[in-house]
Amino acid sequence: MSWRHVWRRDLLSTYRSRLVPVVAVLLVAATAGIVLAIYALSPSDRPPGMRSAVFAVGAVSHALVPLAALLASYSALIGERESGSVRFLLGLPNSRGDAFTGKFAARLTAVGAPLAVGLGVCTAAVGALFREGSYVDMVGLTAVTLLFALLFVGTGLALSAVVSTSTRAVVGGVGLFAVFRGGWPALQFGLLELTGADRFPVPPDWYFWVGRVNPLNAYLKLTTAYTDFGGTGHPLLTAANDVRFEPDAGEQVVSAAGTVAVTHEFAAVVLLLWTAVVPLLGFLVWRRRDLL
Amino acid sequence: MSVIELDGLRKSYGDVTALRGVDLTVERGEVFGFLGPNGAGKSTTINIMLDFASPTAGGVRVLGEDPQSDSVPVRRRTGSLLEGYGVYGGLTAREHLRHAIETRGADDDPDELIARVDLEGAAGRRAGGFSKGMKQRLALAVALVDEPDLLVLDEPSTGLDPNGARMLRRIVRAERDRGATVFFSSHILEQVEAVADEVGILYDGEIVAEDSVEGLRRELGAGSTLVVELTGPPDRLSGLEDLAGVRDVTFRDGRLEASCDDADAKLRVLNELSAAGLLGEFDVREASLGEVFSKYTTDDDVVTDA
Repeated sequence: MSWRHVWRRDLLSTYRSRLVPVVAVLLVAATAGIVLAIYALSPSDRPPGMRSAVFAVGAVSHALVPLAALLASYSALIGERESGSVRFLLGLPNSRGDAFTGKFAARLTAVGAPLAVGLGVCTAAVGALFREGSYVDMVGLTAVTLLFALLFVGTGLALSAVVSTSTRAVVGGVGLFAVFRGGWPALQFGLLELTGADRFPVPPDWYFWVGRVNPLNAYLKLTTAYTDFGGTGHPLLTAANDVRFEPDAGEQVVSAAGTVAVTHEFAAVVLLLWTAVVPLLGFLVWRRRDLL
Repeated sequence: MSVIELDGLRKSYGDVTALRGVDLTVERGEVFGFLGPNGAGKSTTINIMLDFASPTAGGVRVLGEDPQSDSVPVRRRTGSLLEGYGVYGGLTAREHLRHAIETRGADDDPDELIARVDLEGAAGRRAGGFSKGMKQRLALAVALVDEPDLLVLDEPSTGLDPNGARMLRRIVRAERDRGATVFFSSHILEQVEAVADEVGILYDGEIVAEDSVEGLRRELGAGSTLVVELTGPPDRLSGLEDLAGVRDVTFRDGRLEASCDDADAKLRVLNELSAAGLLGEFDVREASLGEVFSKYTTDDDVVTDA
């Protein structure tokens, strides 16, 4: 169980290098801050509702958590190789698996602990002060957000294991985020153009199959399990259904994507697969590669 | 029993071949000097021995284990000070040692180890501000945790001042006396010559010589040379070269020079000269391993085993 020694030592090192404090302050301030700010800015006779809290936490976390997690983990392994301390790390009776696991656990602690604190504050505030505020649902939202953090700590660690310089790890991390945040929707719209498919009232099923395997979208979809966003769902996700009043027919017309890709279950499977597969691939490379 | 066995070890990086079939055996309890110029492949060999890199071909066994598949048992019994060693800048010297002691499940006293490498004054300081030499000392202290069976030292004197170099020699001898095997790599001959029992010379990815320090001197006719001032003409002398352990006898300007493999050979020469009534002042000139080394490691005069 020598990964625990690696975990403890790495946490202490990163804490003293100020990386952990910076990430911690960032995460606590952003999550607790946004929820408290929403409350402070609302009229005192009409406190904000649960929906605005879930939206705010999801909107902030879906961008901030990947960035903070990648920042906290991109240098975990490549940094040791570059500084030469890998000779210390693997000069001791640690296997490469111990090193990988211990580092993973340390960087996850560095991100997960402040995130849990921040979201704990959110949970307390929302449960006590918000309209229809639910402690249980906020705990659920916290759990999903921590899983999301696990995914990106694992992704940063995998990057750190496979690259040969930390500059490449940074480029890889930033690039990956840009692909998920910007490249993915661009690809979806590009495909819509190419195929001449109609986006309204709802895009074709394949559009959702492409879009919902993006882990950022999978996370946002899962946050909608903890409050009711109404007919068109989360504002940051493409609506999977549409309700319009047709004046000619004198009735409401409901259009909905019939694919499993828009369900919560699909989003959960997507998030779990990314979380498990990416670090596993990173580890398989790390296990056999030349480190020096 | 062999502690390190390398069998036809090869390593290539793309088109570049770093090791071209290294065969090497290090026996238990000896100090093995691994000599070679920069770029010969010494660190590559060590990296493969400790599973920091994998060989392209060939076999490696350290302490009876294959480090590629069983790295942890090898690391448990090995202490290493490797070239390019980096410290954790945020941790103090004492914390480095505590961590190493905990990971090894040992019961060493961190301060005792720090004292062994003369780093007492810096025990509580963060290693990020250490000089190169201080980092080397810290790494050496970490390598000594839990009395390893094998000590692997790659260019250990890098950054050490003369006092540090003496401390290093003292520790290497003490570790050998304790029963440890020491694998000491260096391009500095004096360092190796001072401590090594056996020497292997690596040149351009191949072992070009492997023997004891004396054996290597002998092999190249570079044993010590006896120089004697003769008190008369050497006409009455003959057959000196037939004496055991004596080679290359020359006379010049009233002086005799004889290459001798050992002390007995020198005594035999002196006895002959004394019997002939020609013995005057005499002196012994030791060939340094440096002559041997440069003979093996210059391009125009490479001697190989093959």
